[in-house]
This record gives sequence, C-alpha cells and structure tokens, in this order.
Amino acid sequence: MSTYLRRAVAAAIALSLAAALAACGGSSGDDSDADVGDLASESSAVKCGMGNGKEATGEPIKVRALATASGGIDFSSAPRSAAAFFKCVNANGGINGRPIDYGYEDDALNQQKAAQIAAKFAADTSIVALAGDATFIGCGAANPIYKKTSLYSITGTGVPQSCFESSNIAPVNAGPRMSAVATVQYLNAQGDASAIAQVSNKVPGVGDWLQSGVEDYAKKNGVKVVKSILHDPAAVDANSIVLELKNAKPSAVILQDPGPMSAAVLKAAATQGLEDDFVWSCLTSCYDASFPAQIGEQWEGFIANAELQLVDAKTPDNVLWRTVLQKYGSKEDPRDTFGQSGFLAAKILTDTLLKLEPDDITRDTVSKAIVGIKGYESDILCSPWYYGTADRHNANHTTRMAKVEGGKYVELEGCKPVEDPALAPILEQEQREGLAG
Amino acid sequence: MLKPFIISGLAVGSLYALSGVGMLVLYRTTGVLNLAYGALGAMAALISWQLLRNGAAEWPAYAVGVGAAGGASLVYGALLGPYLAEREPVVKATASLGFALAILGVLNWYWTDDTRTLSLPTDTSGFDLGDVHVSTTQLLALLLATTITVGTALYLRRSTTGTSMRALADDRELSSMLGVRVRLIESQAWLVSGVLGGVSGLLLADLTQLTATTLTFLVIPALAACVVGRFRSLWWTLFGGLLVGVLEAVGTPYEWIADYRAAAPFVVAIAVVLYLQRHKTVTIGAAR
Repeated sequence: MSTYLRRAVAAAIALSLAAALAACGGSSGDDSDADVGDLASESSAVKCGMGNGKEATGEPIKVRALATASGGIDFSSAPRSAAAFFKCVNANGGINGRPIDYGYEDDALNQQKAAQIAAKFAADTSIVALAGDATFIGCGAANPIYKKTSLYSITGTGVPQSCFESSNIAPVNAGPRMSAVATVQYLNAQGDASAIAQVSNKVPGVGDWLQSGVEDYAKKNGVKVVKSILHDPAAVDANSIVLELKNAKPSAVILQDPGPMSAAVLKAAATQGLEDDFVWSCLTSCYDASFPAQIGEQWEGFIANAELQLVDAKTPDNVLWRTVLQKYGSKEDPRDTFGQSGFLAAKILTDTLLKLEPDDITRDTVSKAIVGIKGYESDILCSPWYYGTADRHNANHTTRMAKVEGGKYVELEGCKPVEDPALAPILEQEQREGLAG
Repeated sequence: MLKPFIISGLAVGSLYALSGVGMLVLYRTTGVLNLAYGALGAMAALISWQLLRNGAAEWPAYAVGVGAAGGASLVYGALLGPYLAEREPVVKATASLGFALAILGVLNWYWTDDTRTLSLPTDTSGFDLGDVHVSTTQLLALLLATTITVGTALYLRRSTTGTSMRALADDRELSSMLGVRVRLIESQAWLVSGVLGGVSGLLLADLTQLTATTLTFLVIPALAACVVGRFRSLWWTLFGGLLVGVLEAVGTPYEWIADYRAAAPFVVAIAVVLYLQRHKTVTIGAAR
C-alpha cells in the first residue's frame, strides 16, 4: 500500500472511530428517568412478589417468552421489563423460596422461527408458563402448538389480530384495534369526527383489522370516514400520503403506523403547513416519552391513545415498574407502554404462582391457575384483567387519551371503555362468567 | 391534480438519482456494485442525529456523519478492494451485501426502533407552487442531484483522476502498466461514493424516515436508476432516479395502483431491460 493511501485509510479509520465515539457519548434512546424524578422517595423499598428481601435459592421455576427483537422491529421492551421484575422477585424470596428462571427468545420477525421456538417451549415440560411475550408475527403459528400441550402465555404486547384471537395467548395491552376505536370515539365525543381520515400500513391482520374497527364504530355512530389509506409498509414517501390526506379534507386524522412512520407523516404535514387544518391523532404506537421531542414544538396538542397507565404516573404499580427497571433493568430498557405491559404480565404470573403450593408447581397446576385468573387489579390497567377459557382474549378494552403539552405527554382523558362493536361476545362472556371482577 | 405528487416525487426521485450517480461512479471505476450504499447513508443520518441530540452544532454534526460514511466506504474499499478486484461482478456485489448487513446490524443494535426525526435547517424555508409548499430541502435535493451529475460527468471527462478512473474501468491491468495508481484511484472512488451516500442518506432521512432499515433498502430505487443508465450513463441515471420517484408518487391518488407504488423501481428496471433486449433474437435449441 502506498504511503499516501495508507495515510488516507488511517485517517478514514480515525474519522469513523471519532464519529462512533462522539455518537456514543449519550444514550441511544430517551430512556432516562428524568420524567418521573426521584423514585426512591416514592417507594422506600422495592418490594416484588413476597417482598422479604431474601434471595430465593430453591429449585428454579422455568418461565419463558417469545418476542420479536430483531429483523427490523425491536419489540423486546415487554420481556425486558418482565425480566427485570422477575429478578426483583428472586431477590425478594422468589415464589415461596423458589427463584424464577426467565428468558426470552427472538423470532427475528420470521414466522418459521417463531413456530420452532414455540414448539421448543411446548416440548420442554419444565417450562410452566410464558409471560411478557411480544411477538409481531408468532401468535398465529404458536397458539395451536401451545393449545396441544396446554401451555399458556400471559402475553405482554399483542399487535396483530391473531394475538387477540387465540385460546392460549392473552395480551395485557389493549391492542391497536382498541386503540384506534378509542381514538375515533374520543374525536367523536369532542365533535371532531365529521370527516375521519386514517393512515395505516398493509400488514395483514394489522392495518386492515384496525381500520375495519374504526369503520365499524363509524357505521354504528354516524361518523363519516372520508379516507382510509392502507399504504405499502415499504412505502417511504410520507409526503404523498399527506397530499392525499389534504385532498380528502378531513376534520381529523388518525395515524395508525408505528412511531417512526407516523413521525414522518407529521413532518411532511408540517412542511405543508397542515398542523392546524385538521385534528391530528395517533394510536399507542406514538405514545412514547421521546415522541413529542422528535416531532417538534409545532405539534403541541397532538393526541395519542394510551392502552395502559401514562408512563410517568406516580401510582404504586407504575412507580414499582420504573423503580424495578432502575434497580434490576438497564438504562436502555424502554420506559414505554409495552415495557409496562411486560412488567404487568410478569406481575400477574408471579401473583398467580404465589397462590400455589410451592412443591406442586407444574405446567398442569400453573395452566389451571392462569386460566382461573379473574378480576386482577392494577393501577396500570383501567379495568380488571382476566384470562378465562375462550378462543378470544381482549380483557383490556378500557383506555386513556393523552396529548402533547410542553414537549411531553399529559393525560387528556381518563379511563374510558372502548365501544368497538366487535367486543360484544367478549363483554357478554365477562358478564356471564363474572370475569372482570 | 397530479402536480403536487409530481413535485413530491421529483424531490425523492432526485435523491434516488443522487444515490444512483454515487453508485455508478464506484461501479465505473472499480466494477463493484456497492449494495451497502443505502446502509452508509443510514449510518451518516443516524450518527448526525445522535451528535445533534448530544448537543453538537448542526453543520459539524452533518459533516461528521457524512465523513463517517465516506470513511467506512474508504476503509472497506481500501482493505477488501484488492482482494475482490479480479473476481466476477457478482462476487463483488455479494461481498458488499455482507458489508451492508454488517452495517445494518450495528445500526439496529445501537439505535433501536425508537421514533427519530432529522430536520435539516432547510426544512423551515421554501415557497408555494400553486397549492403545494415546496421546502428548500426538496429544492436542494433536485439541485444537488443535477449539480453532482454535471460535476461528475465533467470531472470524469476533464480531470486527470477522472481520466484514470475511466481507464481503470476499461482495463485495470493495462492502466496499471501505463502508470495509473490503481489503488489510490480506486480508494478515491470509494471515498467519493461513500460521501455521496452519506449526503443522500441525510437528505433521505429528512424527506422520508430516519430508520436504519428503511434507508438501507433505498439502495433498490438507486439500483433501478443505474439500470436506466445501463450502468454507464450518468445522465440516464439521473433521469431514471427522477422517473422512479415520480412514478412512485403519482400512483398515490389512484386506488387501483396505489397499492403497487413500491414496485415502481422494479417496473422501471424490467421495462428498461426488456426495451434494451428488443432487437435480440432468442434461440432455444434442444440438447442432443
């Protein structure tokens, strides 16, 4: 290599390293705990499970989760929060002295891999239950496998329709369809729903499913949907979407994409000066502490649905979640709704296991106990959560609304039951069996 | 009715064109079809975003991001280029795919899929064209693509390095014997290509989305632009990029075609390949 070239390569390496080091100077996401202030004063000791402060040393109880952590989507915030909570449980006496051996496996957004992992979990009978799962593509493939082997999942985050229409999978979050209907319902109550436009992507069982939720609600309540855009997930040109919205002249827009795409639409809308022309709103996918800062000051008043408690709320379970992450998690664990759902899934399982005889914790006994969960209360939820025997699970169907104020989300409306017409059989079962407490 | 969509398409299309030109400069010099081009752009955009977030001033942050993309491209080219020089084009392209996946892996690992936006200072200014607002960034994209295409064409034709690059593209061995400093010239091409990739990445992150995966796969429309230019003509590459961008955008208001907008690069590339083959006779014979 010539001296000239060698120098050039050395300079290039130095520059790349300098850039990487400079970029590493801060954390990779907005995941600090500045929004909640000093948590220690809120809860003097972190008490999880038995809360006795003694390390559990007995025979471990194996619990697993299936999550999509790579392949373009990182959905691991639920199992990460669940893992932190189980660590806290183990440091506080475990399940009557027995620690929980917890881990999650990544399906890498690959359905075949998800099915393989599900089959592995099912075959390993030492795994007594699943908790804090968050798979974007795995529910449909995994449920039949779990059903055959009587394995139950208290799922943290469910997104596609199949996660809410499974016998052995029950998510703690409300799901995007509930989130979308709750948003149109709020807009209708405010008198902003004379002409609704909605934007989602064409992932089967996601975009079509949640948009039909808005349309079903609209039909029943005399709301007019003037535009339903289902774009290709690979489409990157948000400006064209905004121009289409502009042509439709809606009164309000509901963005239903993942956060980054919705932020791109908002940015294109700001370029066209449309911030004040319609009411802009979004699902829980935009409800994340870093979102307001990323979309900028011009979006004060932007509305988002929150499927669970606001992430900075100072309520006991929410403070416990944030404290557990501080003490047993890492700075990088996301402090978002999906983290909350993972934490809560782990907490529900822990509370269920604590009621069992410590020597008789097997898949059979645990499955029976999980199915029997009824009226589980937490301040992270709006209404009691339950499992029950059904081929559909959507116990969480009461949500909150938030808006951007002063660069952060604040509560706009407290808990409101979602009026999705498709919930009718679930509500009927709840009443018949007294599931919601 | 289509005017707003054409304007929007021209802006994104010019960045496809700019990426195409950057890829073509490298291809014409080294014979490498750099599939990591989009990933280098994503790297520039994310590093710039992180520096801005950490409190850096705007222009230095962009410069470091673009510089890192140029640097990474140069390091890959200088270290692996010689080993790949004599291999078939498909091997060279596949090796760059490995480079792309490695960069994408690192980017996705460090910058998880939180919401991020990159707003260039040129976003806030602009002018109205009928009922559409054109931002300075959109205008800048078009101007930059045209200027870089003109500049590169002149550079390759007039400058000594440009002549060397063209000579290398024709015959590497012969150029070397004639005293062309092959590795130096190749490294320059890698650097220039990486810098152009970084600039395209910054502008694309501003006009589309700031996610590693999205930006990495923007190499596809850039490739389609190169196909239109038959991997030779910078001008046709510019035209190809603009065509893909405009086709993607004007499909939006028509419901029957809107679903297939993302196929625009493939449709353009296939149409061009078929057109170029129109005079060829295909003979199918049975093996005896």
